[in-house]
Amino acid sequence: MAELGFDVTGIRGQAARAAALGDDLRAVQSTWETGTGSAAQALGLDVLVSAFGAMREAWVEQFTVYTDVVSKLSGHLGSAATNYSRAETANTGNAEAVMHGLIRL
Amino acid sequence: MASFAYDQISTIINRLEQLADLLNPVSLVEAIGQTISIVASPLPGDAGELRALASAFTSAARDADPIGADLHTMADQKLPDVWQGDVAVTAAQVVNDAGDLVQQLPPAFMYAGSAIDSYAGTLTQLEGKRQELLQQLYNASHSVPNVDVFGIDIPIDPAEWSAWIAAIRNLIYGSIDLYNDLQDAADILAGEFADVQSKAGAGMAVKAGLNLTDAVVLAATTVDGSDLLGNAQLTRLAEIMAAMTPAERARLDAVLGQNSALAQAYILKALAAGNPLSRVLTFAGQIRGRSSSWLIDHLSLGGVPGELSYDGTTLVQSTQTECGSASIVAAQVLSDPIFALGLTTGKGGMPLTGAQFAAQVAAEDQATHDYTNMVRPWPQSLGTSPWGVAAGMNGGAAGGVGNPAGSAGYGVNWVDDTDPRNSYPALQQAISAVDAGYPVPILLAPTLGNLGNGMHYVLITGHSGNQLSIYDPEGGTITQVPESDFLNGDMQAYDQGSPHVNAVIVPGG
Repeated sequence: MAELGFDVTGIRGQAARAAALGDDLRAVQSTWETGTGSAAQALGLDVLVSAFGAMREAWVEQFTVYTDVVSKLSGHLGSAATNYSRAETANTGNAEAVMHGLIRL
Repeated sequence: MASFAYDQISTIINRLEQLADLLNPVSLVEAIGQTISIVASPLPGDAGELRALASAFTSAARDADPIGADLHTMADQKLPDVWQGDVAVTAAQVVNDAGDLVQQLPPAFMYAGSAIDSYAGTLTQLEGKRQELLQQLYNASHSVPNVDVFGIDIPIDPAEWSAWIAAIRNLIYGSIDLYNDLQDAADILAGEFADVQSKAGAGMAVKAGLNLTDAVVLAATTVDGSDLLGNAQLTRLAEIMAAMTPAERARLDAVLGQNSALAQAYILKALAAGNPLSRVLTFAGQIRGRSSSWLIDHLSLGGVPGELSYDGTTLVQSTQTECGSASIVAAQVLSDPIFALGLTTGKGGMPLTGAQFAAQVAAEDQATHDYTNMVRPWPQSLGTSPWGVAAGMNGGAAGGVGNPAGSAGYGVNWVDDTDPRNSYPALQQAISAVDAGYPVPILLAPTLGNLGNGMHYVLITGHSGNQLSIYDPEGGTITQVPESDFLNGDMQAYDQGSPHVNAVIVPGG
């Protein structure tokens, strides 16, 4: 319904792209976590193990922020597209309001 | 495998120093054996595994590189409706800010990979040196100049003995250097890890309890290339917001919703600085509807990159003895936007002229000078004592810079920057504090132990990569200084007249 400013197919495409980016981020995170998970022997000294552990923990959290944002975006775009389609099918004439109501986080 | 205690290396160095001081030739012969037993153990760490570790970072950096740009592309397209967190922002903004944050990963991880790789190189080099020393010690232990008389080894040539003793001492000193070099390299790597950790602000803020959306938006907000809220401020903000009643939170959210994203960041920064909510809400009303440039000019004194200034007037010390006071005032400007607004606006919120701003600064410098010299008696003619600067940072005339709850506050760490081994931890602590978002005053002087002529305070305001941003209240400029110059006690290029760091005033000092 381009005349209402909402393109369900386009929104579904955005949701899919966001999901794909989320997958990419999770893949990067997973490989990185595996590669950095047992660094004690490599680093040797306790001060380095401790500093590295704090840094790694912070970046695990940071990765989680990235993936959470993208996941939320993907999920809500998908829901919005679905609900808009339902509203359109039901011919409520209030598709835009439904759209706005359901995409809020 | 259990890690090797850093302090154990210090013990090894002390033991070797004791051995090197032995004068008795017979004792020295025993010392060789003890030195061999120390040097025989491989250095802690594994260079091969370190390189694999470095590779995990650089690979992640390469793989993540296009994702940030892809998020920006998404944000540039039309994204429907509002993304509603505690800060009301659009979905496009959240995604755009997330893209900014993802784009911070590749440089941070490349830096980490390079740092680990460099340490691996140093470790390989030191391990080679250790093996060489060990061989030389073995050789020396088998070449004691002596003669066998009735089964007893007796030295025969004093000159030969002297040469042998000197050679042994050199080997022991070489071993001491080896372990000192290892500690130096480890100190540097630990500092680099802290630097990389500081780039993960959003993750740490969420862990501290901040809402996901707020954390992303606030962590991505920068002014003049620096984070508007450092990690310590984000953590403090999370604590303050968690302690609010639902009614307080609703009032704050309502006000935030009426302001731009940058204004929201300044409002939350004011809250993180420790201002009461009622004052923060008034402040929000004062800045509502202001443009980004107005906010940056009035609340960060950031209209001109590379200096703290307002309306063409730089923030400089008002008199020759007020570098300490001016450093505190600058720290408060950087930490509390309400304080900054008080310097740049008058009654009714009317913006001041540059000359009026200079007068406000002069009054603030004097009030700060009076306060700091009163809490720690000190002649005003000598400027401000380091303890006075610490007191000013903790809650001076204008309330200090807002320490996290439970923090011990700013204190004085004395530094002998001609002794890098002993001064490094204090200097590194200063950089870590800056990484966390705290401005750090440092006391420079022509010589060590000098609290008189030539004493000068400057303020470290930022740290990025291997550069420190240092504000000088004498000229009002912010200069980039190599981190290594600071850590190595070589500030000659920055301040030819006062190149020695005598003290750093840091949280927890």
